Amino acid sequence: MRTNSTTKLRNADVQTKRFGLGMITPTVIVLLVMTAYPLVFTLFYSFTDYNLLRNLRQPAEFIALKNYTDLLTDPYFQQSIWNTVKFTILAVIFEMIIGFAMALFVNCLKRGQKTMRTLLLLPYLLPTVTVALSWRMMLSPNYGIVNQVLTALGLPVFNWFSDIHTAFGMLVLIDVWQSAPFVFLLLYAALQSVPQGQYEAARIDGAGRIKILFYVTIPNIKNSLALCALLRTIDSFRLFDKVNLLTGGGPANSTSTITQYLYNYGISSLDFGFGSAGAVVMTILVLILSSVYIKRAIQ
Amino acid sequence: MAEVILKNIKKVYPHQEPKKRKKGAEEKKTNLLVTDEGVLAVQDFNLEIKDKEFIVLVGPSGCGKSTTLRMVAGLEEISGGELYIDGNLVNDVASKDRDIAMVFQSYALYPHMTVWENMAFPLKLRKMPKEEIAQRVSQAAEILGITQYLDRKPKALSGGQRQRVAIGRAIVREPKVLLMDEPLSNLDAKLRNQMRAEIIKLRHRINTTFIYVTHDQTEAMTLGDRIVIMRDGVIQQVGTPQEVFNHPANQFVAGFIGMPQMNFYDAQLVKDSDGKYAVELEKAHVVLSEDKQANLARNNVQPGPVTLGVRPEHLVLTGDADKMITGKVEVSEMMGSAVHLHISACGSDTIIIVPTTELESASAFSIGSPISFTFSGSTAHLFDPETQKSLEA
Repeated sequence: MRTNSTTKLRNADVQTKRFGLGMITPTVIVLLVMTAYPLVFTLFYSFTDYNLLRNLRQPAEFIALKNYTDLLTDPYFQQSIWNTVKFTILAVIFEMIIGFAMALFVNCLKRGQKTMRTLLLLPYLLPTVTVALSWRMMLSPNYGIVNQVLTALGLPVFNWFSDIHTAFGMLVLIDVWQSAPFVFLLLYAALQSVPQGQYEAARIDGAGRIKILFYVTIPNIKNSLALCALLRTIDSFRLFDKVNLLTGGGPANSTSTITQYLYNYGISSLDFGFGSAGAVVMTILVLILSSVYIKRAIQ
Repeated sequence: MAEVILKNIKKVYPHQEPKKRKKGAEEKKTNLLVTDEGVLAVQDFNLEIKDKEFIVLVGPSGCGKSTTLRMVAGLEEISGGELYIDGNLVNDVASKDRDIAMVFQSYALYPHMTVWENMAFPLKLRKMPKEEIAQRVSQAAEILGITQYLDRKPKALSGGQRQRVAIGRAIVREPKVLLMDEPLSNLDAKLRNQMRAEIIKLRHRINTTFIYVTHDQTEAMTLGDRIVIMRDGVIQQVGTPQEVFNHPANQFVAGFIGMPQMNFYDAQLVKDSDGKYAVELEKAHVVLSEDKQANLARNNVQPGPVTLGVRPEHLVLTGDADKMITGKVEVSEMMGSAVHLHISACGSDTIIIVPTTELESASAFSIGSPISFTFSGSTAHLFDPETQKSLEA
């Protein structure tokens, strides 16, 4: 009797396991095809001189680390890494500060929170292409409203995207304009979940506005702050569309990011071996960057 | 260590713009007074709280007791009237400058700080020297028995321990007034009884003025020097626990204070041939006690219909069989030391408490069996059926 029931139980256990396996198999297959295969493919080609044009006639050859040494010694690539890091740091800092300020502002509004929230969110809802093109129009040296206003005020005008002094700053500005609302949305939601009682207790305990911000608000939303910074860091690090649409990496490589460099030297020239090596380097950099946050999140 | 005076305090919540109501959504029913200005949550609140007094504000949900406390705390704006703490008008003084401390129902501890940091926080904000902070925190922790938890974060504590920390954070400041907003409501019944006893002890150790809000009449009766009973934003009665229990000012207070609730009947007040007042209910004819006679005579009360109130513990099952009220047992609840009998009599529900010691057997009251009871002239409370006010006050 007893053995009978244990066998039954074991059978049920096996069945549950089989059902579970059946359920996750499709996901695993999709993941393997869409993620693991390209990853292995990229890693493999990064050690070859695979070039689409040339390899129509002769097969790719194994060249060990040559792609990597070429890449890392290329001053253009080095500048692109520096540009990317500089862009990421500036954009994330400004987006976090402005987004947080917006969230605090809307959160303390007594009326019209919903309207304000929608208005502030609009830039984030626009497609990047639209954002890039409308900024290009506004900043156009010929018919742009910005230069017209500057001229009317008697101030010097710039060719914003072609001037080495302004192009990089403009890209940061546009990215902050578009992505600060994302930070705002995330932090606004976090602010809403801070218990009102803590603010009241702090007021009675003798804290002013600034002290409440540092002792109550920020500690309560610090996880959201960290998550937000991580998401924005990863996203800024992969910046491509705005650069490609507005400057193409110029002038004088001053706005070229890692992705733009890979596009110029790996994709446009169909030199996929070299491009793959660049992609691997970038993946490693992103992983290193985000590992700090991921470790924190796990703790 | 200060007296608190509330003079004609009023709280008005302005009308909200009408929102689109979902189909079928019921409108919230309240009996609060609505004026052109808005909803009157608290009106004509007059109270003088003496130095070191323990005042309890009690009443059902939505009666304005918490709003009143929050106005004293400075968390709600005062719409009208004057609030004095220690002789100073503080209507427009910020919470942090009123020298008050408050314990919240939700504890409102800072989750990212340890117990020690939570308790030291108000002192740190006042830039107190470190040695004094350490001394005050450890002293408060000792009083509350939480010394061993000082390094823990609030999430590692039980509800009772968290509430102690919240009280600790309030008492380290040695505030002029200590406000407590339903501090025991989140605790289970056993812990609540225990904490209630500890608050009584605490009160004798730290000499300060307490204002305590609760909806629990047991807490009100056991803790308060004086009780303020509120309903729909209006004070119903202020008095010592004994006063409000023995001499309720109106039918609401009589029903609210006392567990189980007082029984009410539609009865007749008559004057006997010797000029003495008596109440008649069914066959019962009960002559009132001397002090009640005097009170009624002083108020020149005329015979006629009255609302009679008798507490469940004052109804007795023995007496002259011809002059007793009869009813039927509906439910019999054995509570250990007493049996609570629910009886349908005189067209209403009556509860009688019968001590177990007076019972021959617990099964004496089977459901549906007839029962007769009466009361004495000293335990009857008489109310005006229209105004619901006590006829003796």
